[in-house]
Formats: sequence, structure tokens, C-alpha cells
Amino acid sequence: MLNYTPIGSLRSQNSYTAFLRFTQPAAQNDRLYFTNDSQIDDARVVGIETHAHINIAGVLPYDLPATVEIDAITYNVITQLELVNITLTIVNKKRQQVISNAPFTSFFNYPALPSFLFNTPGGKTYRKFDLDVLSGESYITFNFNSIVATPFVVPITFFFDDKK
Amino acid sequence: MITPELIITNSYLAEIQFTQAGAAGQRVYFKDIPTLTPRDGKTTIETVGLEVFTSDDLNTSPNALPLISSANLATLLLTLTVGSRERCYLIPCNTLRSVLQGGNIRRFYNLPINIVKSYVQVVSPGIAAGESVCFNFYYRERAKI
Repeated sequence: MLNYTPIGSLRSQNSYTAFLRFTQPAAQNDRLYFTNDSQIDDARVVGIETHAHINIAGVLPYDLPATVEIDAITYNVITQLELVNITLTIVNKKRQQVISNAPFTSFFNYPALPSFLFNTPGGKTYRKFDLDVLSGESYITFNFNSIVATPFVVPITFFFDDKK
Repeated sequence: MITPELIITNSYLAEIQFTQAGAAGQRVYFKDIPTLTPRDGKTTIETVGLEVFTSDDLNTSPNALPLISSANLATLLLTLTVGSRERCYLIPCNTLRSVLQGGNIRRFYNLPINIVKSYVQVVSPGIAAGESVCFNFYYRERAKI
């Protein structure tokens, strides 16, 4: 878990980064569901941030390293170029798709990336949410089959409100 | 009342497909989107923000079509219709692309958009047949009184 302090007006002191693990190559329209996670389900989500391994020469520090080790398995981290292949769908506790196919790039806020190197629709602003998330029915979709070598992880951070 | 910042509670990624290459003056309408046009008689959908995406932001649309290039986004103007009135007429689409606006999402004041009467208009050629442009509608659900 990453240790965040309040960011701008987001005012969240609770965060949780899910590393969605994928062991097979992702084909077009493949869905990867979140695992049931009470840390997400029991809180109110007020912010979402996506992450990637930045592999642009001369841009440091990178967001995440090229690989991470989880449960003794080494996973490749998706790169900033692969963010454009992923969308996020969030289902709430009434089982409504409240966020439908939101592009992952829109929640990517890596501040060290100049816009001439990589387009970050989120810029340096943090998208703010007010969501009750049902993790087990929320998912990401790959819309292009060019994801890095398996196994790989897709990191996504949820920020929670302070009433948790 | 509009809030000082956009708190996202709902969003839907809608797309407009170009079945033929973009030609000046051509209008392409949104298809019907049930999520944005509820038929239960009890709910109104009000758009509070809008963001557009190109191939630099998203590779393919939910219907697996390639997105238009960022350069070709400049050839599109968007009209949002409420009822049968074109309330937001010919918005240059580049103003709706967050990366060009410091990351900000363009806000709208609780606009109950008639999606099937809303459209993009092409002002110069460039977009190829089979391409798509995606709009993320940020909206609120409100009970009809």
C-alpha cells in the first residue's frame, strides 16, 4: 500500500492500491474483475488514480518499476503506452454501472510527464468521485490486445473518505 | 446548483461512429443510449460534464473501432440538444479534450440532453470511414417531480 498524504482538495487520508493480476495475454474485450475486497466495499470512494511503469528515457522518477513481486511471483507492470488500452467500469451496491468504460488515461496523474511526451487527460488534476463500489462486480476491459508479456499487473489506487 | 468542483457520481462513454469518411458539412448523430435516456418515467439524466477522447487517450472504442486522431478532432464541432432546441451549438471539440485544458473537465449546468438529437458536424475532411470518437458523459440522476 502506498502512503498518501492529502492531495490538493481531494482530502483523502485513506488509500488502497489494488494490483489486478493477469497471467494470460489479454485479448480484445477481455474483462478482468476485481476480487471481492472489503477494504473497497466498506468505504466511500472519493478518488481514483491509475498507475504505470514510465519507460520514457530521461523521465525520472518513474511512477512504478518495470516489475513488482507479489506472493513470490514477479509481474510486469503495464507501461504508460498501455494505459490507452484499458477502460474501467464500476458497479455500485445497487448493481448499477455507475462508471461505464471510463478510459484509464483519464485517471493518470503522473506529474513528471510533460504533455509533449505523453498525453495525460487527467493532467495534474485529480478526478473526484462519490461512489459506493461493489468490487467483485467492477472490472477493467482491455480494448486492444497489445498488453505486455505475462504475467502482468494493472495498478489502480482508490482514495476513500475519512469516515471509514 | 453548480458545485465548485465536479464530483463524479456517474459516467458513460458514448461514441459516434463514422461509417463514411468525414466530409465538410456532414452531421453524424449519437445513437440511442438507454443509460442516458431512461424510459421509466421517473428519472431525468442531467449532464454535468463532458470529456472527449482521441486515439492518444484511448486506443479503440467500446465497439472495437479505432478512435480518430488528435489532429482530426479539430475537424469536429459538437451540438448538444435539449428537447428539440440546440442549446449548445457547434462547440469545437478540442475544448472538450481534458489534456488541452490542464486536465479539467468541461462543466455543464445540469443539462438534460436529448442524445439522439445531438450530433457532431464535420468542418473539413480527415476522418476515415470506420473511425469513432468517444465522449464521456458525466451525469446525475434526478427523480422527476
